Amino acid sequence: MSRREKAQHIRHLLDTEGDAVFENTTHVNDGRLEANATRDDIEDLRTAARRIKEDAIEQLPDLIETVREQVEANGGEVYLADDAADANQYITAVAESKDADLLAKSKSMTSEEIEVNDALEAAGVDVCETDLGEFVLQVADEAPSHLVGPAFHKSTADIATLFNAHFDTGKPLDTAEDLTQFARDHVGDQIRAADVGMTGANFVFAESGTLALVTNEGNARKCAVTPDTHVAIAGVEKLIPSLDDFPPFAELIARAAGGQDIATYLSLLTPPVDSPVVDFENPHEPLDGASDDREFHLVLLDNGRTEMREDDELRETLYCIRCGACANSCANFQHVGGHAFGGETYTGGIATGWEAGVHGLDSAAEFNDLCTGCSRCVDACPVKIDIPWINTVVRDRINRGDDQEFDWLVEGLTPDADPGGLDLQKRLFGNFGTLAKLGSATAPVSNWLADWGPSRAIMERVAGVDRRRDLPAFRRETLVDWFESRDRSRPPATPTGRSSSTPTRTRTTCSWTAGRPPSGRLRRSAST
Amino acid sequence: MRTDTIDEFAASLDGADVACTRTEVADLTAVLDDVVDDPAVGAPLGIDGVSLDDTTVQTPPTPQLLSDAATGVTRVHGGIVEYGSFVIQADEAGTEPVSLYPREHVGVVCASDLHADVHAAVDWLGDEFDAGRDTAVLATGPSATADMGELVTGVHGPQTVHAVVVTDR
Repeated sequence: MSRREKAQHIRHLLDTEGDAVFENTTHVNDGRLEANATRDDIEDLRTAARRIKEDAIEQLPDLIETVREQVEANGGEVYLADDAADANQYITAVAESKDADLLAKSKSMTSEEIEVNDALEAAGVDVCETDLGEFVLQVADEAPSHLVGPAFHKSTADIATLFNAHFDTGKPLDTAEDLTQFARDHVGDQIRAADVGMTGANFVFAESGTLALVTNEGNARKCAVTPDTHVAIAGVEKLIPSLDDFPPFAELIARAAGGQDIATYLSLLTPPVDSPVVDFENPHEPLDGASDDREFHLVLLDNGRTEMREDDELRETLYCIRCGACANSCANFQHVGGHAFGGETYTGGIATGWEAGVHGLDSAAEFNDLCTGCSRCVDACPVKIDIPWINTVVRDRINRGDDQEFDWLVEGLTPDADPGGLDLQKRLFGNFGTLAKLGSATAPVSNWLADWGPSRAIMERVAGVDRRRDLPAFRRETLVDWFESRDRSRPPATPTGRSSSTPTRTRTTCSWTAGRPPSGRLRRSAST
Repeated sequence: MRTDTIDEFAASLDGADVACTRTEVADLTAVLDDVVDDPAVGAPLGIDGVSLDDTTVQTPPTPQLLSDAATGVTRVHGGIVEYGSFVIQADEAGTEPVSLYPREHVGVVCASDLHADVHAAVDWLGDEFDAGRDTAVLATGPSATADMGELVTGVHGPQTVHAVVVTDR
């Protein structure tokens, strides 16, 4: 997408989805801050959760072996899928082996990552999304715009318009309550008729072969327990050693996601479960788990995760528990939403790491510039991921990806030993200090020249500096000269209307696009 | 079980939008008849001396009863005082679907099964897992969604939840 097309796309989203996204993110941010304020041990919980994820990723190969042995001992199957196609092939084969016509699925971003619905439908298996947000998007034929609230970009009125046009609802639906009731009944019928239930997993306890599912609606409980066949898909990074490791996540995940003290349902399922199959085709047959023959398949997805684990910079992404707090807390996300601030599957700040890892740099490049590196998300993240740093690293990798035609124009302005491949705009802004020295040494001529119409046209074309943008006005007197020549008998002058105790913040995103290779020093200065 | 623990649990239930009725075991069946909306379906409570056969609650559950019942009555195997959460363990008799499908869930929890917080409840669940009872749900309040633009209760799970606390068990 060209710069102009991307700008147009973002303007369109600001008009069509911006209000709903802003309202929803504001609401959940307030909730998160309020919920965190009720406990004084949030920092301890975050530290504990972080450590558990670090250790789990470190010992991931062992955890995979442990869970495989345990699930098989429990009577289920484990399939380690290399990539999306591999996972889809296995899941489709399971559905076909059950002669399934209909699969009821609870919300799972990992299932979105592999686009399992398309694979199943190609094999003649209908898929019903049972999370109401996902259901709305299935009806609208749209992609999720948020990790937790997939229909975050839609208002009640948008959904009413959609449902009233798509379904014969009798009297038009209007309120959130009407819409929920209608969707619940419609989806409920599908769950009752489903041949296979599919869920994701927020965590997988390796030692017991247990899935932890975090939900509020109850649809995942129904999908897991109603049909006799349950398929769960989870990225390998969801493995943690055991139930003992669960409490910090139980406390943190719903607070971070939406400001609840605890999620409505934390299901700990060790399939095949004892609960009886609920067979609505035999409505009068008493439920009896003892006589049921349940089937369970755990599909563990790699799809780039092993490489991410070996990548010192991307590894941290695997600690993500997908609460969406990085998106909610992000000023840019709050305005444009996940259809701009997101890649093929994932949305928000952490999406850069996920997209780079599972889909590749091209997908991350589509939105990665929207991270300004402000670091609000770091404080919001329940596992303390340095999300701006991941964005910096990935952006740097993207920037170094290809050579540019006009390199010679800024060659003298870039002090790097190896400037090759960096986008011109990045190098211009990344080395603003050099440019500013030149500008002030030649002021005011430099100011006239910079503002001259043809100069602006060239800057816009070559370096992507919009011609409507105000340029800095250089002065020949440097700060040091000014300081030495100032009258020391008088207090320093302050700009009108602004107290001297509130300095203007002038440092902008330039440092994040610097042409320097990532370094520990940059990391510390940028992410605190 | 100390009364102040039950008081604290009741306060947390209230915060989670869950009604609470206290009773001694001798009056439990009468209390259940009082609090359930008929038709009701149930799974065995597993409390000595108490049978749902002595109430209007129908057993065993069938898919039809799950569809028709206004209320599902089950044992709640553990309570989390801090949040007013139910810990409901899955069993072959159908406690999980009975607590899930009907519009109202009435959960019977013994005072001696209350745990102070998530940590304590998970410690207890660890022993239960070791004993083979390794599937449970921590349920806090009615099912809910904000997916339609504002918070609505009563989605795929119950719309109302009622705790019956047996104070002398």
